[in-house]
Amino acid sequence: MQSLKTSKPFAAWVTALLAVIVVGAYAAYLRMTVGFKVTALSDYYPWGLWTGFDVLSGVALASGAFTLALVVYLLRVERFKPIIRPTILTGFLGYLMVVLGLIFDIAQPERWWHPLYPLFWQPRSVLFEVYWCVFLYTIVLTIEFSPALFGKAWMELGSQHLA
Amino acid sequence: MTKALLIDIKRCIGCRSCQVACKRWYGLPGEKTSLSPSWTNPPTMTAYTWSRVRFVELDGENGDFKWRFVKEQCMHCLDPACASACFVGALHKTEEGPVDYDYTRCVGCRYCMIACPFGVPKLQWDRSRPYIQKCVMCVERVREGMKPACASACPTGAIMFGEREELLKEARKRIAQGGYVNHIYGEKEAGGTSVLYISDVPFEKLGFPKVSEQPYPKLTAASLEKIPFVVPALAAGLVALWLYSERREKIQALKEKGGGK
Repeated sequence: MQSLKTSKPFAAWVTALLAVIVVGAYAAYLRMTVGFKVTALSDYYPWGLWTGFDVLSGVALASGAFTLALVVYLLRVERFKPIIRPTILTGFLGYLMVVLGLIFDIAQPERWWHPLYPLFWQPRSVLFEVYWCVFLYTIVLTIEFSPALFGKAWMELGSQHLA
Repeated sequence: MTKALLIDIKRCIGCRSCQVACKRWYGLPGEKTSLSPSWTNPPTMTAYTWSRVRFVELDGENGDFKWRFVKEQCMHCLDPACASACFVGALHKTEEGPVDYDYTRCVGCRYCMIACPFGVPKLQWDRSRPYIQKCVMCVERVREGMKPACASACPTGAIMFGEREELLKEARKRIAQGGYVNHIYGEKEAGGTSVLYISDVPFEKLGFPKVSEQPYPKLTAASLEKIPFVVPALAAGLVALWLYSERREKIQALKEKGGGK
Protein backbone atom coordinates (compact mmCIF):
# COMPACT_ATOMS: atom_id res chain seq x y z
CA MET A 1 0.00 0.00 0.00
CA GLN A 2 2.95 2.24 0.69
CA SER A 3 4.03 2.16 -2.92
CA LEU A 4 0.54 3.30 -3.89
CA LYS A 5 0.92 6.43 -1.80
CA THR A 6 4.43 7.28 -2.78
CA SER A 7 4.51 6.54 -6.49
CA LYS A 8 2.98 9.42 -8.40
CA PRO A 9 3.26 7.91 -11.91
CA PHE A 10 1.48 4.83 -10.60
CA ALA A 11 -1.42 6.86 -9.26
CA ALA A 12 -1.60 8.80 -12.52
CA TRP A 13 -1.75 5.60 -14.57
CA VAL A 14 -4.41 4.08 -12.34
CA THR A 15 -6.48 7.26 -12.60
CA ALA A 16 -6.16 7.23 -16.38
CA LEU A 17 -7.16 3.56 -16.53
CA LEU A 18 -10.11 4.17 -14.21
CA ALA A 19 -11.26 6.94 -16.54
CA VAL A 20 -11.08 4.48 -19.45
CA ILE A 21 -13.14 1.98 -17.43
CA VAL A 22 -15.79 4.59 -16.64
CA VAL A 23 -16.08 5.63 -20.31
CA GLY A 24 -16.14 1.96 -21.35
CA ALA A 25 -18.83 1.09 -18.82
CA TYR A 26 -21.00 3.95 -20.07
CA ALA A 27 -20.46 2.83 -23.68
CA ALA A 28 -21.38 -0.73 -22.70
CA TYR A 29 -24.53 0.58 -21.02
CA LEU A 30 -25.46 2.51 -24.16
CA ARG A 31 -24.89 -0.54 -26.35
CA MET A 32 -27.20 -2.65 -24.17
CA THR A 33 -29.96 -0.05 -23.96
CA VAL A 34 -29.83 1.96 -27.18
CA GLY A 35 -28.07 -0.58 -29.39
CA PHE A 36 -25.50 -0.45 -32.14
CA LYS A 37 -26.66 3.02 -33.13
CA VAL A 38 -24.00 4.37 -30.77
CA THR A 39 -21.30 2.58 -32.79
CA ALA A 40 -20.14 3.22 -36.34
CA LEU A 41 -21.09 -0.32 -37.36
CA SER A 42 -23.20 -0.68 -40.50
CA ASP A 43 -24.28 -3.24 -43.06
CA TYR A 44 -20.98 -2.52 -44.86
CA TYR A 45 -18.90 -2.94 -41.70
CA PRO A 46 -20.76 -5.49 -39.60
CA TRP A 47 -17.60 -6.23 -37.59
CA GLY A 48 -15.76 -3.21 -36.27
CA LEU A 49 -12.30 -2.45 -34.89
CA TRP A 50 -13.89 -3.47 -31.62
CA THR A 51 -14.07 -7.12 -32.71
CA GLY A 52 -10.61 -7.14 -34.22
CA PHE A 53 -8.93 -5.52 -31.22
CA ASP A 54 -10.82 -7.66 -28.78
CA VAL A 55 -10.12 -10.98 -30.44
CA LEU A 56 -6.63 -10.30 -31.72
CA SER A 57 -5.26 -8.80 -28.51
CA GLY A 58 -7.11 -11.01 -26.03
CA VAL A 59 -6.50 -14.28 -27.81
CA ALA A 60 -2.90 -13.32 -28.54
CA LEU A 61 -2.32 -12.70 -24.82
CA ALA A 62 -3.74 -16.09 -23.98
CA SER A 63 -1.66 -17.91 -26.57
CA GLY A 64 1.38 -17.12 -24.40
CA ALA A 65 -0.30 -18.76 -21.43
CA PHE A 66 -1.19 -21.80 -23.51
CA THR A 67 2.33 -22.25 -24.86
CA LEU A 68 4.03 -21.64 -21.54
CA ALA A 69 1.70 -24.09 -19.77
CA LEU A 70 2.79 -26.68 -22.32
CA VAL A 71 6.45 -25.87 -21.76
CA VAL A 72 6.24 -25.90 -17.95
CA TYR A 73 3.58 -28.53 -17.16
CA LEU A 74 4.08 -30.98 -20.01
CA LEU A 75 7.71 -30.58 -21.07
CA ARG A 76 8.73 -29.74 -17.47
CA VAL A 77 11.16 -27.01 -18.33
CA GLU A 78 11.94 -25.77 -14.81
CA ARG A 79 13.62 -22.61 -16.02
CA PHE A 80 10.26 -21.03 -16.93
CA LYS A 81 8.40 -22.08 -13.79
CA PRO A 82 8.72 -18.71 -12.01
CA ILE A 83 6.82 -16.86 -14.76
CA ILE A 84 4.02 -19.38 -15.24
CA ARG A 85 1.56 -17.77 -12.78
CA PRO A 86 1.78 -14.20 -14.08
CA THR A 87 1.49 -15.61 -17.61
CA ILE A 88 -1.63 -17.60 -16.74
CA LEU A 89 -3.08 -14.46 -15.14
CA THR A 90 -2.36 -12.46 -18.28
CA GLY A 91 -3.97 -15.13 -20.43
CA PHE A 92 -6.97 -15.33 -18.12
CA LEU A 93 -7.47 -11.57 -18.24
CA GLY A 94 -7.06 -11.66 -22.03
CA TYR A 95 -9.73 -14.30 -22.38
CA LEU A 96 -12.07 -12.57 -19.95
CA MET A 97 -11.71 -9.48 -22.13
CA VAL A 98 -12.54 -11.49 -25.27
CA VAL A 99 -15.59 -13.12 -23.69
CA LEU A 100 -16.91 -9.88 -22.20
CA GLY A 101 -16.26 -7.99 -25.42
CA LEU A 102 -18.04 -10.60 -27.50
CA ILE A 103 -21.06 -10.61 -25.20
CA PHE A 104 -21.46 -6.90 -25.90
CA ASP A 105 -20.65 -7.44 -29.57
CA ILE A 106 -23.30 -10.03 -30.40
CA ALA A 107 -26.74 -8.63 -31.12
CA GLN A 108 -28.48 -11.02 -28.71
CA PRO A 109 -26.22 -11.13 -25.62
CA GLU A 110 -28.71 -13.24 -23.64
CA ARG A 111 -28.24 -15.98 -26.22
CA TRP A 112 -24.48 -16.38 -25.77
CA TRP A 113 -25.04 -20.06 -24.90
CA HIS A 114 -26.83 -21.01 -28.13
CA PRO A 115 -23.79 -22.67 -29.76
CA LEU A 116 -23.52 -24.95 -26.70
CA TYR A 117 -27.01 -26.32 -27.22
CA PRO A 118 -26.68 -29.53 -29.29
CA LEU A 119 -29.85 -28.91 -31.32
CA PHE A 120 -28.34 -25.64 -32.58
CA TRP A 121 -24.93 -27.10 -33.44
CA GLN A 122 -23.62 -26.25 -36.87
CA PRO A 123 -20.06 -27.63 -37.00
CA ARG A 124 -19.54 -26.57 -40.62
CA SER A 125 -19.04 -23.03 -39.33
CA VAL A 126 -15.53 -21.79 -38.63
CA LEU A 127 -17.02 -19.65 -35.87
CA PHE A 128 -18.39 -22.80 -34.23
CA GLU A 129 -14.83 -24.02 -33.72
CA VAL A 130 -13.75 -20.59 -32.49
CA TYR A 131 -16.65 -20.47 -30.03
CA TRP A 132 -15.82 -23.87 -28.57
CA CYS A 133 -12.12 -23.06 -28.35
CA VAL A 134 -12.84 -19.83 -26.48
CA PHE A 135 -15.43 -21.49 -24.25
CA LEU A 136 -13.27 -24.48 -23.30
CA TYR A 137 -10.04 -22.52 -22.89
CA THR A 138 -11.82 -19.96 -20.68
CA ILE A 139 -12.77 -22.86 -18.40
CA VAL A 140 -9.21 -24.20 -18.50
CA LEU A 141 -7.77 -20.78 -17.66
CA THR A 142 -10.27 -20.35 -14.81
CA ILE A 143 -9.14 -23.66 -13.34
CA GLU A 144 -5.48 -22.80 -13.89
CA PHE A 145 -6.00 -19.42 -12.24
CA SER A 146 -8.19 -20.67 -9.35
CA PRO A 147 -5.28 -21.52 -6.96
CA ALA A 148 -4.49 -17.81 -6.86
CA LEU A 149 -8.03 -17.19 -5.61
CA PHE A 150 -8.49 -20.11 -3.23
CA GLY A 151 -5.02 -20.26 -1.78
CA LYS A 152 -2.40 -22.85 -1.08
CA ALA A 153 -4.67 -25.62 0.18
CA TRP A 154 -6.65 -25.60 -3.04
CA MET A 155 -3.45 -25.71 -5.07
CA GLU A 156 -2.13 -28.65 -3.09
CA LEU A 157 -5.43 -30.43 -3.51
CA GLY A 158 -5.04 -29.94 -7.24
CA SER A 159 -1.44 -31.05 -7.35
CA GLN A 160 -2.30 -34.15 -5.31
CA HIS A 161 -4.78 -35.15 -7.96
CA LEU A 162 -2.37 -34.36 -10.74
CA ALA A 163 0.53 -36.23 -9.19
CA MET B 1 -37.48 -30.35 -56.54
CA THR B 2 -36.11 -26.96 -55.80
CA LYS B 3 -37.96 -23.80 -56.68
CA ALA B 4 -36.32 -20.76 -58.19
CA LEU B 5 -36.93 -17.35 -59.69
CA LEU B 6 -35.98 -16.37 -63.23
CA ILE B 7 -35.59 -12.63 -63.60
CA ASP B 8 -35.57 -11.35 -67.17
CA ILE B 9 -33.94 -7.93 -67.10
CA LYS B 10 -35.12 -7.27 -70.65
CA ARG B 11 -38.73 -7.47 -69.52
CA CYS B 12 -38.41 -5.32 -66.38
CA ILE B 13 -39.94 -1.84 -66.64
CA GLY B 14 -38.72 -0.67 -63.22
CA CYS B 15 -42.16 -0.17 -61.67
CA ARG B 16 -41.04 -1.44 -58.24
CA SER B 17 -44.26 -3.44 -57.76
CA CYS B 18 -42.14 -6.34 -56.52
CA GLN B 19 -40.45 -4.09 -53.97
CA VAL B 20 -43.80 -2.87 -52.66
CA ALA B 21 -45.38 -6.35 -52.70
CA CYS B 22 -42.46 -7.65 -50.61
CA LYS B 23 -42.89 -4.87 -48.05
CA ARG B 24 -46.64 -5.43 -47.87
CA TRP B 25 -46.43 -9.20 -47.46
CA TYR B 26 -43.94 -8.97 -44.62
CA GLY B 27 -45.27 -5.72 -43.13
CA LEU B 28 -41.91 -4.04 -43.47
CA PRO B 29 -41.86 -0.33 -42.63
CA GLY B 30 -41.03 2.31 -45.20
CA GLU B 31 -37.72 4.07 -44.93
CA LYS B 32 -36.92 7.72 -45.23
CA THR B 33 -34.62 7.95 -48.22
CA SER B 34 -33.53 10.33 -50.93
CA LEU B 35 -33.14 9.87 -54.65
CA SER B 36 -29.45 10.35 -54.80
CA PRO B 37 -27.19 9.71 -56.54
CA SER B 38 -29.49 7.71 -58.84
CA TRP B 39 -33.16 6.78 -59.14
CA THR B 40 -32.51 3.66 -57.11
CA ASN B 41 -34.51 3.91 -53.93
CA PRO B 42 -33.65 3.04 -51.19
CA PRO B 43 -29.93 3.35 -51.93
CA THR B 44 -29.17 -0.09 -50.45
CA MET B 45 -31.03 -3.16 -49.32
CA THR B 46 -31.60 -2.98 -45.57
CA ALA B 47 -33.17 -5.02 -42.81
CA TYR B 48 -36.47 -3.40 -43.80
CA THR B 49 -36.03 -3.57 -47.58
CA TRP B 50 -35.38 -7.17 -48.52
CA SER B 51 -35.78 -6.56 -52.21
CA ARG B 52 -35.40 -3.45 -54.31
CA VAL B 53 -35.01 -2.44 -57.92
CA ARG B 54 -31.66 -0.97 -58.87
CA PHE B 55 -31.84 1.62 -61.66
CA VAL B 56 -28.82 1.43 -63.93
CA GLU B 57 -28.08 4.18 -66.44
CA LEU B 58 -26.16 2.95 -69.47
CA ASP B 59 -24.81 4.65 -72.56
CA GLY B 60 -27.36 4.27 -75.35
CA GLU B 61 -27.19 5.06 -79.04
CA ASN B 62 -26.52 8.55 -80.48
CA GLY B 63 -25.33 10.03 -77.20
CA ASP B 64 -28.56 9.01 -75.53
CA PHE B 65 -28.76 6.84 -72.45
CA LYS B 66 -30.82 3.80 -71.59
CA TRP B 67 -32.22 2.34 -68.37
CA ARG B 68 -31.91 -1.16 -67.14
CA PHE B 69 -33.59 -2.30 -63.94
CA VAL B 70 -32.12 -4.96 -61.72
CA LYS B 71 -34.34 -6.51 -59.07
CA GLU B 72 -32.18 -7.40 -56.09
CA GLN B 73 -32.87 -9.79 -53.24
CA CYS B 74 -31.27 -12.85 -51.68
CA MET B 75 -29.81 -15.11 -54.38
CA HIS B 76 -30.79 -18.29 -52.46
CA CYS B 77 -27.56 -20.16 -53.24
CA LEU B 78 -27.73 -23.93 -53.64
CA ASP B 79 -24.89 -24.23 -51.12
CA PRO B 80 -25.18 -20.94 -49.19
CA ALA B 81 -22.11 -19.36 -47.61
CA CYS B 82 -24.31 -17.72 -44.94
CA ALA B 83 -25.72 -21.08 -43.81
CA SER B 84 -22.26 -22.60 -43.58
CA ALA B 85 -20.97 -19.57 -41.67
CA CYS B 86 -23.84 -19.51 -39.15
CA PHE B 87 -22.69 -21.38 -36.03
CA VAL B 88 -26.19 -22.01 -34.66
CA GLY B 89 -27.87 -23.06 -37.90
CA ALA B 90 -30.20 -20.04 -38.00
CA LEU B 91 -29.88 -19.91 -41.78
CA HIS B 92 -30.52 -22.98 -43.84
CA LYS B 93 -31.32 -24.08 -47.35
CA THR B 94 -34.84 -25.54 -47.38
CA GLU B 95 -35.69 -28.46 -49.63
CA GLU B 96 -38.19 -26.19 -51.40
CA GLY B 97 -35.35 -23.90 -52.50
CA PRO B 98 -35.47 -20.75 -50.36
CA VAL B 99 -32.70 -20.05 -47.83
CA ASP B 100 -34.74 -19.56 -44.65
CA TYR B 101 -33.88 -17.70 -41.45
CA ASP B 102 -34.84 -18.85 -37.96
CA TYR B 103 -34.70 -15.82 -35.69
CA THR B 104 -35.18 -17.95 -32.56
CA ARG B 105 -31.68 -19.38 -33.00
CA CYS B 106 -29.84 -16.25 -34.14
CA VAL B 107 -27.21 -14.90 -31.76
CA GLY B 108 -26.58 -11.82 -33.89
CA CYS B 109 -22.88 -12.43 -34.51
CA ARG B 110 -23.20 -11.05 -38.08
CA TYR B 111 -20.85 -13.66 -39.53
CA CYS B 112 -23.41 -14.34 -42.29
CA MET B 113 -23.14 -10.71 -43.38
CA ILE B 114 -19.41 -11.17 -43.84
CA ALA B 115 -19.74 -14.57 -45.50
CA CYS B 116 -22.36 -13.71 -48.14
CA PRO B 117 -20.71 -12.96 -51.51
CA PHE B 118 -23.71 -10.82 -52.49
CA GLY B 119 -23.94 -8.77 -49.27
CA VAL B 120 -27.53 -9.84 -48.65
CA PRO B 121 -28.06 -10.40 -44.89
CA LYS B 122 -28.73 -7.10 -43.10
CA LEU B 123 -29.06 -6.19 -39.44
CA GLN B 124 -31.74 -4.12 -37.71
CA TRP B 125 -29.24 -1.48 -36.63
CA ASP B 126 -31.88 0.66 -34.93
CA ARG B 127 -32.69 -1.91 -32.25
CA SER B 128 -30.89 -2.84 -29.04
CA ARG B 129 -31.49 -6.59 -29.65
CA PRO B 130 -31.48 -6.71 -33.45
CA TYR B 131 -32.01 -9.65 -35.74
CA ILE B 132 -30.65 -10.43 -39.17
CA GLN B 133 -33.15 -9.87 -41.97
CA LYS B 134 -33.20 -10.98 -45.57
CA CYS B 135 -35.44 -12.20 -48.37
CA VAL B 136 -36.67 -15.74 -47.65
CA MET B 137 -38.33 -16.18 -51.07
CA CYS B 138 -41.68 -16.16 -49.26
CA VAL B 139 -40.95 -19.67 -48.03
CA GLU B 140 -44.34 -19.97 -46.27
CA ARG B 141 -46.18 -18.97 -49.48
CA VAL B 142 -44.08 -21.40 -51.52
CA ARG B 143 -44.95 -24.23 -49.10
CA GLU B 144 -48.63 -23.44 -49.69
CA GLY B 145 -48.13 -23.73 -53.43
CA MET B 146 -48.17 -19.97 -54.01
CA LYS B 147 -45.68 -17.78 -55.83
CA PRO B 148 -43.46 -15.40 -53.85
CA ALA B 149 -45.08 -11.97 -53.41
CA CYS B 150 -42.69 -10.27 -55.87
CA ALA B 151 -43.38 -12.80 -58.64
CA SER B 152 -47.17 -12.45 -58.15
CA ALA B 153 -46.95 -8.67 -58.34
CA CYS B 154 -44.81 -8.35 -61.47
CA PRO B 155 -47.02 -6.95 -64.25
CA THR B 156 -44.69 -7.81 -67.15
CA GLY B 157 -43.73 -11.37 -66.30
CA ALA B 158 -40.14 -10.34 -65.69
CA ILE B 159 -40.10 -12.49 -62.55
CA MET B 160 -40.90 -16.12 -63.28
CA PHE B 161 -41.30 -18.64 -60.49
CA GLY B 162 -40.93 -22.39 -60.93
CA GLU B 163 -38.68 -25.40 -60.82
CA ARG B 164 -35.03 -24.43 -61.20
CA GLU B 165 -34.46 -26.96 -63.99
CA GLU B 166 -37.53 -25.75 -65.90
CA LEU B 167 -36.45 -22.13 -65.51
CA LEU B 168 -32.96 -22.93 -66.79
CA LYS B 169 -34.57 -24.51 -69.87
CA GLU B 170 -36.77 -21.45 -70.32
CA ALA B 171 -33.75 -19.16 -69.95
CA ARG B 172 -31.79 -21.13 -72.56
CA LYS B 173 -34.78 -21.01 -74.89
CA ARG B 174 -35.03 -17.23 -74.60
CA ILE B 175 -31.27 -16.83 -75.12
CA ALA B 176 -31.44 -19.07 -78.19
CA GLN B 177 -34.22 -16.88 -79.62
CA GLY B 178 -31.77 -14.00 -79.60
CA GLY B 179 -31.47 -10.59 -78.07
CA TYR B 180 -29.81 -11.81 -74.87
CA VAL B 181 -26.28 -12.12 -73.58
CA ASN B 182 -25.29 -15.79 -73.56
CA HIS B 183 -24.99 -16.01 -69.79
CA ILE B 184 -27.47 -17.16 -67.16
CA TYR B 185 -26.33 -15.37 -64.00
CA GLY B 186 -26.87 -17.76 -61.13
CA GLU B 187 -26.56 -20.96 -63.12
CA LYS B 188 -22.99 -21.42 -61.90
CA GLU B 189 -22.33 -18.34 -59.72
CA ALA B 190 -21.44 -19.27 -56.12
CA GLY B 191 -21.96 -22.90 -57.12
CA GLY B 192 -25.41 -22.14 -58.51
CA THR B 193 -28.23 -20.03 -57.06
CA SER B 194 -32.00 -20.33 -56.93
CA VAL B 195 -32.37 -16.89 -58.47
CA LEU B 196 -31.45 -16.76 -62.15
CA TYR B 197 -31.03 -13.68 -64.31
CA ILE B 198 -30.93 -13.22 -68.07
CA SER B 199 -30.17 -9.90 -69.70
CA ASP B 200 -29.53 -8.16 -73.00
CA VAL B 201 -26.69 -6.17 -71.38
CA PRO B 202 -23.53 -7.89 -70.04
CA PHE B 203 -23.89 -8.49 -66.30
CA GLU B 204 -20.65 -6.68 -65.44
CA LYS B 205 -22.14 -3.50 -66.85
CA LEU B 206 -25.18 -3.91 -64.63
CA GLY B 207 -23.02 -4.11 -61.53
CA PHE B 208 -23.49 -7.80 -60.83
CA PRO B 209 -20.66 -9.01 -58.59
CA LYS B 210 -18.20 -11.39 -60.18
CA VAL B 211 -18.21 -14.33 -57.80
CA SER B 212 -16.49 -17.69 -57.69
CA GLU B 213 -18.18 -20.61 -59.45
CA GLN B 214 -17.07 -22.82 -56.61
CA PRO B 215 -19.56 -23.00 -53.71
CA TYR B 216 -18.07 -20.87 -50.91
CA PRO B 217 -18.57 -23.40 -48.10
CA LYS B 218 -16.15 -25.69 -49.98
CA LEU B 219 -13.33 -23.29 -49.06
CA THR B 220 -13.56 -24.17 -45.37
CA ALA B 221 -15.19 -27.60 -45.47
CA ALA B 222 -11.94 -29.48 -46.17
CA SER B 223 -10.20 -28.22 -43.03
CA LEU B 224 -13.29 -28.23 -40.82
CA GLU B 225 -14.01 -31.87 -41.63
CA LYS B 226 -10.66 -32.81 -40.11
CA ILE B 227 -11.32 -31.14 -36.75
CA PRO B 228 -13.31 -34.00 -35.15
CA PHE B 229 -10.25 -36.21 -35.74
CA VAL B 230 -7.48 -33.68 -35.11
CA VAL B 231 -8.75 -32.48 -31.72
CA PRO B 232 -8.97 -35.90 -29.99
CA ALA B 233 -5.64 -36.90 -31.57
CA LEU B 234 -3.99 -33.74 -30.27
CA ALA B 235 -5.54 -34.20 -26.83
CA ALA B 236 -4.37 -37.82 -26.69
CA GLY B 237 -0.87 -36.73 -27.75
CA LEU B 238 -0.72 -34.10 -25.01
CA VAL B 239 -1.98 -36.53 -22.37
CA ALA B 240 0.68 -39.00 -23.50
CA LEU B 241 3.29 -36.26 -23.18
CA TRP B 242 2.09 -35.47 -19.66
CA LEU B 243 2.19 -39.16 -18.63
CA TYR B 244 5.69 -39.46 -20.06
CA SER B 245 6.94 -36.36 -18.19
CA GLU B 246 5.27 -37.56 -15.01
CA ARG B 247 6.91 -40.99 -15.26
CA ARG B 248 10.29 -39.56 -16.12
CA GLU B 249 10.13 -37.27 -13.10
CA LYS B 250 9.19 -40.16 -10.78
CA ILE B 251 12.05 -42.29 -12.07
CA GLN B 252 14.40 -39.36 -11.62
CA ALA B 253 13.19 -38.87 -8.04
CA LEU B 254 13.64 -42.57 -7.28
CA LYS B 255 17.13 -42.52 -8.73
CA GLU B 256 18.09 -39.49 -6.62
CA LYS B 257 16.73 -41.18 -3.50
CA GLY B 258 18.68 -44.31 -4.33
CA GLY B 259 21.85 -42.28 -4.92
CA GLY B 260 21.44 -40.50 -1.57
CA LYS B 261 21.30 -43.73 0.44
